[in-house]
Amino acid sequence: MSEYPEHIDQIDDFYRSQLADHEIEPPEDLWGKISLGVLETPSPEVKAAAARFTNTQKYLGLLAGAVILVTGTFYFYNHKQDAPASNRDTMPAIEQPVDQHEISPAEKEGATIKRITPSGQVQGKTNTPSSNTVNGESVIAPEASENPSSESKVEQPAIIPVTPEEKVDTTVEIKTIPKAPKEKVKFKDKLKKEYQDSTRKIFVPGK
Amino acid sequence: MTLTDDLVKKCISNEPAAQKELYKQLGGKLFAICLRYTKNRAEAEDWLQESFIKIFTNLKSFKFEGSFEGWAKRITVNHILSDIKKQKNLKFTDELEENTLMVEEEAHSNITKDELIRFINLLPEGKKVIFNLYVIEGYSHKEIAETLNINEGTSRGQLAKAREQLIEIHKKYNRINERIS
Repeated sequence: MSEYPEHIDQIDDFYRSQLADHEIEPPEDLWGKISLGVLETPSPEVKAAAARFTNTQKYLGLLAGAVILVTGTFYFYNHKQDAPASNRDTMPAIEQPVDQHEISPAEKEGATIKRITPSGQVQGKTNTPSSNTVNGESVIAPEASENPSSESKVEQPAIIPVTPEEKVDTTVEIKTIPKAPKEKVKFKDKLKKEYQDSTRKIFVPGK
Repeated sequence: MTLTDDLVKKCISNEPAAQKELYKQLGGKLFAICLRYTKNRAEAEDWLQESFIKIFTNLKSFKFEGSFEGWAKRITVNHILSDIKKQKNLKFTDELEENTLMVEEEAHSNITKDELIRFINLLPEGKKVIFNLYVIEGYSHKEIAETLNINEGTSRGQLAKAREQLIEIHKKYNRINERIS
């Protein structure tokens, strides 16, 4: 070991020459820890791949969401619902309800309505409106329920007769659709037929 | 092909025997480096362990162009510096470390290499790092400034003060040694 330098300029060379290749024996058990650490530590390639995956993870999530949305929309608009044992051929015909018709405005105003029954008879009916016309002006008749006393009958205005020339024909002819005869099918037979139809369609697609 | 290059190739192939051989060849040198930056032996052992794990896991990046020993030393020093910067806020003070009196207790007539390392460890943290990097590792002031995020002037000034303090420490050591003898 050379002497320790007394001047500042010699310090660098002295320390460099003494400590450049200096070795100190490490503890014996350290190699075990190092070898275990090497096994547990992932390689830089794996670390880089993991970092790349972490960076692109949010974009993958967005992509997956977009795919789900597009697929869902496609199926929503293109989905055909197949109801079992029912299609256009097997569906029962919609029956038109008999004796149902719209009340026309003329009928509401008190026009005479002729009805032709299925047997060919003509029936006439005049609606009594709640108001009467006197000299072109409407006069509201008092309701019977409002004033049940005899005075209401006395004060009722007189109805002026109208000559046949002045009579306006407000007759409306309404033909009533004849009721279609119903087929008497037993409920049990109907169910049986539906079941046969459905099984034929499901299990024998060719027929 | 030198023995070390052959060993490195075997280590890249993950041969445990080759890895252990490499540790035997370099372990002592790298442990000495660690002990120059800390007086705490446990901390030096941790640095050595982590440095070797880095060396083995990054072996594929070694291009066989320079010395493998120099490459391994560089990895060790870089790891030590990053850990020092992470753990401690590097301060450039003039006060010597508190355990200066340890020289008095352990004084001997001859200065050994271990005692020189102890002298270095008596320097304040910032001066110790700069002295080690410039004098022993061979860094330039520019490299030190870039590594430690300081000015080149600071690096030069701290190095000059470190040299003065090492002279002072040695004088103190001699006085104590004369008193004992």
